[in-house]
Amino acid sequence: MMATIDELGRRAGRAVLEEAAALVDVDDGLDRITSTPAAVSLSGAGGNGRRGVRRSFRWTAVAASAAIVTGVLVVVIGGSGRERVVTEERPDRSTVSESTESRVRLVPSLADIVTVDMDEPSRMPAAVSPNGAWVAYQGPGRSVCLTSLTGTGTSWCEDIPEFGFRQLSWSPDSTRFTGGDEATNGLPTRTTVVEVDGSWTTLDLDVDRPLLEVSFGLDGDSIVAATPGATNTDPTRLVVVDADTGATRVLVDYPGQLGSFGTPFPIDAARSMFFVGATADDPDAAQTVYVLDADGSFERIAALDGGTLPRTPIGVTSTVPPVVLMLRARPVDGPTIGGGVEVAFLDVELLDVGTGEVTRLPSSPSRITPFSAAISPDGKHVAMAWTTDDGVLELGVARIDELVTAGGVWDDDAWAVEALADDDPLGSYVISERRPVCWCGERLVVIARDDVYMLDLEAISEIPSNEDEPVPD
Amino acid sequence: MCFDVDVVDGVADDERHVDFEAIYRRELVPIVALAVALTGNRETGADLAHEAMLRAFRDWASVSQLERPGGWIRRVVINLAHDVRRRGDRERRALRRLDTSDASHPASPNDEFWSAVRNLPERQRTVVALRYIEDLAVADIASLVEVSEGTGEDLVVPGPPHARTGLGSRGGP
Repeated sequence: MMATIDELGRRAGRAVLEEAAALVDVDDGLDRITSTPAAVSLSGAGGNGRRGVRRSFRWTAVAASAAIVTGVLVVVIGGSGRERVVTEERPDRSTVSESTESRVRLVPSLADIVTVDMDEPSRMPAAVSPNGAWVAYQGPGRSVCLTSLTGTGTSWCEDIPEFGFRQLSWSPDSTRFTGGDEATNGLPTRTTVVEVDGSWTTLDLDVDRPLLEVSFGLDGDSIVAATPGATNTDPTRLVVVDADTGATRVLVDYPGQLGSFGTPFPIDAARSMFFVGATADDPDAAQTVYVLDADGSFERIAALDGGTLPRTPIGVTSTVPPVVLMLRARPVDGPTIGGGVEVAFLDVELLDVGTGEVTRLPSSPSRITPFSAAISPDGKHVAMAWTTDDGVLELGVARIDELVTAGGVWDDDAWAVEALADDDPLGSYVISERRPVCWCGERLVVIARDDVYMLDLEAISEIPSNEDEPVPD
Repeated sequence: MCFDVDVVDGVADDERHVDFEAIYRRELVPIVALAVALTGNRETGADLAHEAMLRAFRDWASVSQLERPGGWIRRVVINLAHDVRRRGDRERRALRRLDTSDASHPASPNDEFWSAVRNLPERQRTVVALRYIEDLAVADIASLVEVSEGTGEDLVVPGPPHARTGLGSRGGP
């Protein structure tokens, strides 16, 4: 007699229910949840609170049987019950240095990477909200999707025909986002503001130029957009759009041609930074960097060398003065790059907004395709995500001071690297996308094609310096 | 053994006023079963179910106002189970580099069916688990996993993916 799949399924369902009933002690579990002080105090707590409560039960096999490869050091964490055992294996071919050994502290944290599905495969651009609660991205066609990263919000995908964007920008309060308009096609230039509940408003603007780059203003009520001139001699114009009415005013005309990636990039509560190409004052510079105040005045702070290779500002610290992380892609075959770079070496640079000084960190050792990076708010760490030639999505985290000490040479030992997925690459437009890697809220977030990967910020902050005592837990 | 699994269908209004203890007592077993089926590990499944319950208790002021608190808890445990699975994938990859055996606990002996289910695509295995553990209608499953009813129907009806992963008809006792 043959059992149908349905019969097999029902039988298996009953079996697992009986198994579950035998597995749990309802009264004990209820008592633990409702009487554990740690649980009661969880409201508003971050990752520590969650882990603290989990200890009130027992260590899960998940947390206790992690195995991570970090450079030459392999750490296997095993254990049962409430015990944890850390074992280090040192490959014969190398000597484990003190600093490498001290990175043991990073390993349990990397094992805590959380993965969240996006409802539809992501097409860049995509961006995580500043509070780390949402990822907004382009879905199939012209749909716009929002996925909750906390598991408690409502995710959705909506077709928004007007929403043809190059990148996304979130409002500072994480309640809405906007994107630029790709082309006007004789119609009024438009931009669309999308609320987290899925409603949206398309704004007709009082400008006759396409919006090249857009950013939500720091006040949350305005959108700052760069609009290129019709010819190379026309100045690039910065406009401010009322995010509710679409009323537009010209803030300033740039002193030169906007670079390919001349995003007005917010750097602190009152200022933005933008890049332009060569100017009369800096004819040999690849780019000139200006800081723009809220009143429209701007100040030149740096001239960047490097031929015609533009930088992309991609992260900023909360320090005073802020430090801006910039990426620059050097193509493998050719001195210049076009709109999208898929095969390139990666240069990572830091711009001190206070002094204009640029610090160049070691370039990537081999071509990385594609890639992105983020800087921690305290300016101490850099995270980089890349897709290897064989399609593995990897995340690396390093201390900036160790990278600087390396003297411009890529040092594998400076990076704690974790493979996130075998077949979930970053998007191919990463260079023009601001934040596929983001230090948002309390998390480090990596947006790949299918999934979003998250790691608690506090875990990253545990990366010790060489002089720290190693604490293998 | 019979379990009350009416959390998704037809109890919306009542649940608004049901206290956490009642939800916990009624839902713990099916939620543990769901987690065990999705993870293939009893200990992990039980822990995930408690974690989901803990989150519900933590946020009870808002969760209790939801139309379907039980659905919210299931969504949390499904997400947690997916995280566990992916994390397990990462661990297995790392272990392969070390050329060591997988140290995870063995699944339930009678779990051949669930083993095949776990080889299905993520959304489909969730739908199948809800179907056979909770005996939910397709409409309720679709609502829970946030897909259209048609999609839910496609996912729950055995088709080529089942055959590919060993869920074809076989001899019974």
